[in-house]
Amino acid sequence: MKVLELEIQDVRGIRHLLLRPDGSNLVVFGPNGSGKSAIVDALDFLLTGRISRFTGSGTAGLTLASHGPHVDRRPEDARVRARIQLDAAPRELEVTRCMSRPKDIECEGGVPPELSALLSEAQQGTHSLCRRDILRYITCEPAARAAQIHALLRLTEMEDIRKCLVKVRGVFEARRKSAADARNRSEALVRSTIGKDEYNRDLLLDFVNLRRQELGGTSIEQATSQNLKSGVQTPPGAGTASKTLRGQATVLPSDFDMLRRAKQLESQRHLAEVDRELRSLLTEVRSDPEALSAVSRLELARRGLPLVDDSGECPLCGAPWPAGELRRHLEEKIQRAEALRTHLDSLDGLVRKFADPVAQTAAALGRIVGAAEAQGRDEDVAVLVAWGRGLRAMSEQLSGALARYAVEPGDDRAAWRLRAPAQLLGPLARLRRALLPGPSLATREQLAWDTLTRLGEDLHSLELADAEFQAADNAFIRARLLADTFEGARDAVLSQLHARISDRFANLYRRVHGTDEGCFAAVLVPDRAGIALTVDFYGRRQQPPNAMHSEGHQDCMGLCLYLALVEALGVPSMRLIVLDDVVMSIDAGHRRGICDVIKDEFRDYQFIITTHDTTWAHQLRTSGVVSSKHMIRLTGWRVETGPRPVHGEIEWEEIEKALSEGEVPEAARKLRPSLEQFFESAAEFLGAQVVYRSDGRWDLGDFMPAATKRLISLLKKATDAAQSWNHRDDMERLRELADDLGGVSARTQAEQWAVNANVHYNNWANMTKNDFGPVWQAFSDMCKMFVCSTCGGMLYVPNKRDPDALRCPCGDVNWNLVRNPAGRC
Amino acid sequence: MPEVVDSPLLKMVLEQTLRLIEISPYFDARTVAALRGLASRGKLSDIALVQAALESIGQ
Repeated sequence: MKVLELEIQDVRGIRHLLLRPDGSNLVVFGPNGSGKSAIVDALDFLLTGRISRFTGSGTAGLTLASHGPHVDRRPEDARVRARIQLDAAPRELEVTRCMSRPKDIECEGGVPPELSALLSEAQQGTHSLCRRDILRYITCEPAARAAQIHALLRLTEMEDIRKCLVKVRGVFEARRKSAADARNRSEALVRSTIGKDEYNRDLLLDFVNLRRQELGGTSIEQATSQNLKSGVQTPPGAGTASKTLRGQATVLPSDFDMLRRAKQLESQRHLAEVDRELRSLLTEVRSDPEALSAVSRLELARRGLPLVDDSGECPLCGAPWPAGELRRHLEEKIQRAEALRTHLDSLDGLVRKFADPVAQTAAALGRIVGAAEAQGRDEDVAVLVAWGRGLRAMSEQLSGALARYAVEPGDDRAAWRLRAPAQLLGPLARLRRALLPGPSLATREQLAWDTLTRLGEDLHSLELADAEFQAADNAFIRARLLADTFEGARDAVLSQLHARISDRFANLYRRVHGTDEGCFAAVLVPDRAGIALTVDFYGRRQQPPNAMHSEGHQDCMGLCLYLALVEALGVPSMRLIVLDDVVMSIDAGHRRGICDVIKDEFRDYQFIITTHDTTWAHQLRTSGVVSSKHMIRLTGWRVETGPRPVHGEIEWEEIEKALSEGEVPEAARKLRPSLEQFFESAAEFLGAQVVYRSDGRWDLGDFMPAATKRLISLLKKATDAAQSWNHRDDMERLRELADDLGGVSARTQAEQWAVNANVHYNNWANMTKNDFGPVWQAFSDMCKMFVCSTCGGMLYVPNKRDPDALRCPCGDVNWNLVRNPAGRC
Repeated sequence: MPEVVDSPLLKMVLEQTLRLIEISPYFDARTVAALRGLASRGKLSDIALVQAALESIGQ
């Protein structure tokens, strides 16, 4: 997008202002409080419907409706209109936004899609940089820098997606763990019922077929909850329901045995030991969250490693790596994750040692409580129910032990007491007597039948738990792959991006600081959730940007980083950059470098630059960043009228007007500093030798003669070169230019007393109109000799020590200074 | 690719991600299509929708 025209009505300190950048760069300069920032605010409002200055910390109480319009006007009076040219749209558009309806933008014929896309882009605020923003890039924590950079690069959405996928992976991982624990508990019940410490198909079949044999059945090849009793004889008196009191009674002895075992001192000591080991291991594992994260991405790294070929290129994104580096990186990553994986496997084993007896005891307890409640033994049941609650709490801690199991040092005995309360003995003995009528009532067939009934229930639970685990496992694998793949792709893309931005940033900074920091390098790397930035300091070592560099250097870094980031956005439709007084701390020499960066590296962008510094505005003009036509000086601000815009740099028309009105002091006041800045730039651009002054107080009398002498010398050199190449037309033109320069130069010296007054230019103010008129005219003509008549840019030599050409920014002036070696002078 | 995703970098990341899961044996065509749909509607940051898409397989 290019801004062709901007009209501001009653916004902030502006009553009415019409600017015509014509799609070119625009510089607005003037003293503090002249309304420069109001232009930035107005443009911000037009593009976004808000004023960014009113948002963020320290802006409480500032609102668009109350503080956006001019102090004497209402929101419906405040509006911004612009004529713009979109890259993607064939015609110019006129858009208007009013502060009474900040969300609506008016566009004749409706808002086209290209404009909608641009306005959406503008919402990110990427188009504007003020000094406050610079600090956010440089002197801030990695997380704050990441937030700023991600917002600028429109990566916030990417981070939102990453967080979502990671969260979903976490949810599914927890579900899978929970399902695995449930399956383990069900398996523990089956093992408890078949009386084995292990569980496998053969052990189960042996157990089942032995009972089936006792019931007159044949052996089966596969045991399921549905076929354990198929084809066997039902013993006399056995109910068809699986949970008859009689059925419970015959197998309850094993449940009482289970509780007895849990209560045994040896068993409790064993669990206390497991508890201690578990706490110790958990403390170690939890101390390295980064490694835990690496474990979660272990599978991705394992799958990626075989795909890395000898070129070293990343198989995921094609990012170039030095030969062998990516392989080494992945191998280290895998090694670290595998080491922790071993710890996690040990953790699983320990949890299992704990969880199995807890689950088996809880199941046995539940069955005994059920049978006791059926017989109305509520008094004895109470202690068992309380124990059951403790077991369930322990079971929950063990399920997801990595996050939940308490590791704080405490009374180890309390841990195992939880699993077998001391007051259990009495109620348990009474219940045993009441619930177990005696072995004579249970025949072998009846016992086999009831055992298969219970096993069927246990297997049914296991089958359901297994199915749930499979579903949870599949979902987790998908969630993990999705999150890992996304993170891998993001890391690959962002690593490339960060490397590109680092290089570009350092490159731009070197262009500005080439003379003092020609070896400057920067590293921008992801740092957990943030982005760390370190920069080179004179080849010593990488430092944070605010560690060793001055404030001016930091401002320059912020500006260069911002420009590198804006460029990294790809192909934005905006291409508009607003720099609001961003070079305050940067010295004049380095500002020239910034001019070069803007002029040469960002030709496709339109810059709107505000500054209170006339020298910087002047530098932007003389270096060709902005033409004289697009220099706007704001002056004479009053609350009733707002600022008065003055177009152009050296205000020749203003000076002429003042002179015609006999206001010599005013004309002199305008001309004097402008000429001094102009010839200072001319001397700099042409590489003129200015006599050194230890007090640093050079003035026009130092700069102008040096610049003039240098230009005469260069024109002479160009004439000699043209002659050596036999370029007669050029020779003619150059001689004319030299003659003109000589004539104009002579005019500036025509009146010796006036020339002397140049040196002591304060005397100009005492001249009469007739005295000052020729001086003004001579200097006006003199200045024209140093600029291109086409682009208005100042003439310069690319190589000041050994100049080979005399050029202007647009290339219309391009005099060769190198003679033909074979030619004659 | 994603119609409502305006960041070219995000588009690149999503393309790579979807291309890789497309060839993964753990993802069926329906799940990939569901995820592509979410990506194109800018809904991949909606936890409930992503969960639903991942759970849909084998149900």
